Amino acid sequence: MPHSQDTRHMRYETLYIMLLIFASGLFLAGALLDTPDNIARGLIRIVMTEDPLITDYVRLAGVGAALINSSVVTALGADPAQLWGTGQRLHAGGGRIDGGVFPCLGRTRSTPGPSSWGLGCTPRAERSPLESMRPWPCCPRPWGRSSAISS
Amino acid sequence: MLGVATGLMIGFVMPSLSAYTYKIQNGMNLYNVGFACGLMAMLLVSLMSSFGAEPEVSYLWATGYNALFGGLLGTMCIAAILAGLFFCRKPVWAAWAGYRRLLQTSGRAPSDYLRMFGAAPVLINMGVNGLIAMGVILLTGGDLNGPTVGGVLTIVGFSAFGKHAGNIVPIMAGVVLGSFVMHSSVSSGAVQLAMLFGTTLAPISGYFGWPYGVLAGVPPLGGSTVCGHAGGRAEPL
Repeated sequence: MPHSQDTRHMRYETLYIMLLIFASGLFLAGALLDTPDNIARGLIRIVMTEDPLITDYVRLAGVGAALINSSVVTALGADPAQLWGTGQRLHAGGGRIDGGVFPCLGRTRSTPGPSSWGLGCTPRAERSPLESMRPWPCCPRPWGRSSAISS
Repeated sequence: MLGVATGLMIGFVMPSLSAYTYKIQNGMNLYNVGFACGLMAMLLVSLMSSFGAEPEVSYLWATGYNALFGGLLGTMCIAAILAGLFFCRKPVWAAWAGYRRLLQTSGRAPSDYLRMFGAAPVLINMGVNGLIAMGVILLTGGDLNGPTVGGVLTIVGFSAFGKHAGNIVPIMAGVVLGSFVMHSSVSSGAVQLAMLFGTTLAPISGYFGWPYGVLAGVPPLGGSTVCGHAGGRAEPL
């Protein structure tokens, strides 16, 4: 299915700005909902805690700190895409936005780091533009062609 | 230091592992990397515990934020729908027609809706799915807090990659039905999370039809109620 220049442009540039706006919205909401003192203490708690899945940061650190944490992680998640300049990481709007969502749930600025660095280190020569959709690196085509997938 | 090293190692393994898990589940599970991470976690956690480093189980669950998060999420979803209908430089009928077409897809991965249909239908889809997910949580007496808001936003995010109203609702219905059969209440945290994260199986109901979606909704519940309390939850499901 052809996609217009317009869509491509939107995906690579507007989407990045949208993500930053979303992140600043989260930051603003967080800042308004708690006192700076509480937020600072909460953020330290979030970073220091051992966070298995289903660690509720709202309970652990308060709404303000949880929202600010998620805004910081959203911004960090959006950044590499811009740094690499290809916009590939913004491929499915879902993939990235999702990256900023989990902070509510149990990912901190400290936890995603090393794994994402590792992801960046894998040989890029292996990736062709279509295959580099990150969540499904091996898929032959972005849609259709079920025979190609099952073969 | 050890943590950073482990993290780096996981990052090296993950791309090839997720390429492999994609072949296992054939596009029927949208959280492919979650599945890969789950496999990895099973291995690593058992390795860790065999060295005596049992991961600490914490199950924190905030209550009483329904109004606040409901307001924030609701505003966001309605804004997304309005933006999709009116602010995408497309006539309203075109956006709506795109959304109708989007609802016809199976959602089987990879289906990048943003690329297939453009921004307007995707934004409508995001808003509608967010409202559905939030509505289901509130209707079944659940709580909106960190984990569930994360779950709702995950659905909103994956509305650009395979989830739509037609294929997530059967899964959620399956989880609700399952909770009547199994001994867990609908409003308990594990069921709420199964309802939200179980929608990773949306392509099953999209591809095989909604009855199979309902059927597919039941096992994640069992998985998550048991594993959820054990600490490492059902992202693999």
